[in-house]
Parts: sequence; structure tokens; C-alpha cells
Amino acid sequence: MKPDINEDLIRKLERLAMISLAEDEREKLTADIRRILDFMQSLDEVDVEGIEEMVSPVSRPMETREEIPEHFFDTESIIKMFPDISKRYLRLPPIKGDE
Amino acid sequence: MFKTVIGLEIHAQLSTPTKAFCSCPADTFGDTENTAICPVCTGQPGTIPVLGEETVRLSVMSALALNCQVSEISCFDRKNYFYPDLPKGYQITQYFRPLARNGFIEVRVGNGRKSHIRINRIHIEEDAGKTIHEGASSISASGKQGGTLVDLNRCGIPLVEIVTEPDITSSREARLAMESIRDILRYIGVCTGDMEKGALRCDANISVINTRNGQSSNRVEVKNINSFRFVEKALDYEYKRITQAMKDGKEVVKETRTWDLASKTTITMRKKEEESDYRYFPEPDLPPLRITGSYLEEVKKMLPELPDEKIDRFMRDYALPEHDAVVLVSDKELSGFFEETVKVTQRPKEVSNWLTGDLLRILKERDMTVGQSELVPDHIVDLLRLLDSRTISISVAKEIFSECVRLGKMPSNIVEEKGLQQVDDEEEIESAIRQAMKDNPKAVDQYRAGKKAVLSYFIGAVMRRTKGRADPAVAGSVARRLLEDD
Ligand SMILES: [Zn+2]
Repeated sequence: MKPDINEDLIRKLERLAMISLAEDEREKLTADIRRILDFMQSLDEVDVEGIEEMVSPVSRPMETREEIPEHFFDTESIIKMFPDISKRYLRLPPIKGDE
Repeated sequence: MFKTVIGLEIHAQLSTPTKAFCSCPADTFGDTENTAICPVCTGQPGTIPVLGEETVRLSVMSALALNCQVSEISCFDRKNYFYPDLPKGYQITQYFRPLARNGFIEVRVGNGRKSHIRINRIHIEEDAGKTIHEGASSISASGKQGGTLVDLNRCGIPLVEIVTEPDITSSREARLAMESIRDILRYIGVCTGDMEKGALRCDANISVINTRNGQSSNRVEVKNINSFRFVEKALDYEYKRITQAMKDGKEVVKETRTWDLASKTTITMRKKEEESDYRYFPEPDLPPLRITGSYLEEVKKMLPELPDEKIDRFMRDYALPEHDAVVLVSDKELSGFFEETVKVTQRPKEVSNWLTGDLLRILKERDMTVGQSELVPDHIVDLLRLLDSRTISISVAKEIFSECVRLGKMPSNIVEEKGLQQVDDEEEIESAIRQAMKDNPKAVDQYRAGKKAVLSYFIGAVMRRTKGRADPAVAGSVARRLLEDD
């Protein structure tokens, strides 16, 4: 099944990625995405009947971390990167709160 | 006839020492904003998440306590969305292969009946930060007015999301199911269950079926319900709103709504068309999580007796009514106190009456827990002995009990100190009644004219004069004799 790469889809992806493209960029990207999907399509030709699904390309199992709480030594350098602050809050232009 | 179909999604904060994927402390409630942050949980380029072992253990415990099958392999995925409470631009969650599936809980709905509510899945995920929307009057360091403030202390704290099947059939049952899940998580020590502090949050899905024509409404999601009371209220409101629309032949829009405190109604958050598209994909920075059989066995051994089993045992072994058992078990400390006391007195129902009645009332008034009070099992043992020997009356016993809770004194000492021994000297009672008869001849006439209820006035007078030390039964019989004799 081949998805239809049309302008609506590109605009939706723009919205989700929170970027805005120029018209020529949009055209170039449409062509790119089509090419990539065409390539991926070739995977459909492989017969995977009876083959167990690969969960992850990483064969090492997860190694967990012992939980010893520790404050990061240099939180100030993170705060310094905030474009604007109020006390220690990261301050942003007003956002309509819905989440 | 309308039938309600409800499913719950519950987010529970795990009581771990650190955040899920970094070593920042997880218990940050009340801390100064942006003090528990590091390059990992603020999404700095080049950082790698490392899953904490307690996060795994507590989520596996939750899954076992909710009777789920824990997957041998589960995986982490990225849920992509842009919002300033999530600097990475995605939340790490388990979408395609959750930690556990196919569980259930038995919810007590009263009269000894239980509802079987299935659990669809449980998965691990990380919390987002906190945003505060400020009024235009506030001014930033750079002089700008109004704005949104972000605190990332919560960002990356481990949660389990528990998703039920739509097996719930009323708002009350939804509330009971939620309370029951909270009680279980508290009992096994994985979550404080504190809704006010955001340690437990709930979203609910509701749809209504018209049983006459089989027609079903669209599903409405009610988000961000932050108290048990509001679960019930929001769902009651939705039931009314949806059934009304169905009666009027209007379409029920598939949408997400939220409980609005001010208007006590639900209001639209977003309609279906605006529904986000999270573009989930496997988290490349975390390998699959493997839970071995031996690890499961190890965690199983750590599970304490669960509330439902304990309620059954209390009803069976102590012959308690369901209501007593439910109240005692709902507080782990209280149920422990109960068992300790009964070990000595072997009088479960009387002990339960003191604990579920007077004790809980006093604790509530003083906003205390059992452990914070001064009460010890020996106090109750002593108190029951004083009542048995008729040394004190029941009203004095209640007074003494309250002192035990507050000051931790032994009941027999309080009786000695204050001279609270029961007055069973009939002469003293008689003189109290004669005095009352003299003070209020009208009451005497009323009694003699056949108004027998006036007797309680004379008993009351005796209790007042003896400061509650008289046996009300003795006072009653003496009063009757005197009123009828003279
Ligand atoms: Zn961190």
C-alpha cells in the first residue's frame, strides 16, 4: 500500500514539526518523500512468512541504573540557556493552556 | 433505557529515588523550580537516557498487584509533540510493546458484591514539566509582561499508565475503581496516591448506549480529573449531557473535554479534527527491556497482602461486617493497629467499633494519622476492661478514649486522676433525680399525664450532675420508680 504524498499531507507534517516551508521547498520535499517511500516499498517484496519479528536491532539487553539521587552540579548553565527567566522559571510568551 | 460504558486511564507517579532516565531526585514536590534538572531531562543534545532499576521494580510490582501478565520483552517508544513542558520534543513511553497486559481488579461496590474490571495494559512513561499561565500583570527579568512559566522539576519522573477496559457501568463504580487502584498502589508502596500533589491523575472515556435501539453515542474523553469527587461529578455531568443530546436526536461530538471547577461542568478542550498525531516510533536510545522469570519471582515475594485479600480475611477471621473490614483496610496503619489490639483482646467487633468510629472521627478533626496519635493497643485493652467491670460508663469511656488519642495516658490512670468511676450508688442517683423533679415540676406533671418520653429529661439531668459517670440504665430505672411512686 502506497501512501498518497500530496500537498495536504506535507502541510500536516509541517504543522506537526512546527516548521513552515517555502513553496519550492515544499515541492522538493514532496519529491524526496516519494522517493524514500518508493525505496522502502521494495521491502514489501521480501517474504517474511514464518520469520519472528525483530524487536530491536540492538542485541544487548537493557542495563539498568542503580537509583542514587544526585543533583546535577551545574544547573545554572542550563538556566543560562533559557531565553527569558522569571525567578528560576523558564519564561515564554503566553500560551493558551490546554495540556 | 441508557447504559453507560466507562474506561479509565490512570497515571500514577512511582515513588522512586530518581527520575526514570537520569539521576535527578524524583521527589521534588515543594522544591524551588528548576533545581532538579540535568542535561538528560532537559533534552540537551548528545545525552542518553538510562533506565533506573527502581522504576522497573515498582512498575513490575504494580503490574503483578493488578493481576497483569508481565511481558518478557517490552520496548520504549517516542511520542512526539511540541509543548514547552517537554524540552526533548518527545515523551519516552511504551506504545507498541507495553510492560504488561490483561490484568483485572475486583471492586467492592457494596452489599458484599464485587465488580470485575479488566485492565487492558500497564506501561512505563516519563512525566512532563509543569507550566503556569500568568496574568498580564507579571513582569519578567527582561521586562516583558505576562507569559507562561515552565518548571522542569517534574520532567522525567517515572509514571505507570494503567488503562482499564470499558467495563465500568456508572460514575460511582468509576470512582470506586479508581479508589481501589489507589489503595492497591499505596499498599504495595509504589505510589503515594496523593491526587492533590499530582501523584495520581485520571482521564476517563465515556459513551452511552440506548438499549432500546442499540444506538451508541460517540466516545467522549474527560481529561485531567484531579480528585475522586470530580471523577464522579464529571462523569455524572457527561452522562446527563450525552443522554440529553441522544433524546433530542443531536449528535454527540467525539471530543476531549475537561472538568471545569468554576462552572462545575465539563468544557471542550479539543475536537476530533484537532486531535494530535503523535507519530510514535521506537526509542533508539533504549534497548528492549527483558523481564526474566526469576526476576518476576523475586518481585512477587516483595508483594504484601493486597487490600481485597485482607478485607476477605478480616471478614472471615474476625467475623467483621464488610463495612468495618473495608474501613479498617483502607488505611494500612489502622488495619495493623487493629490486628495488634485484637491479638490481646480477642474482641474484634468492639475494637473495630472504637477504631472505625471514635478514633477516625478524632483523627479527622485533628488532621492526624494513627501513627501520629498517642494511642497504643494497650489503651483499648484497658478501656474494655474498665467497661467490663462497670468501673466507667460508656460516655466517660468516650471521653477517656479521646484523651488516650491526644495525650497517650492509660485509661485506668485517667479514671484515678479525675475520679471518673461510675456512680452506681443509687442514693446519689436518687438525690439527683429528686433535685431535678424539684427544679422542674412541669416535667413531672407531663410524665404523670402519660408523656413517658420526658423520662430522658431526668436521665439527662442525672448525667449532667454526675458528669456522665452514672449508668444511664440505672438512672432510667430509678427515675421511673420515683416518678411513678410519689
Ligand atoms: Zn535529570
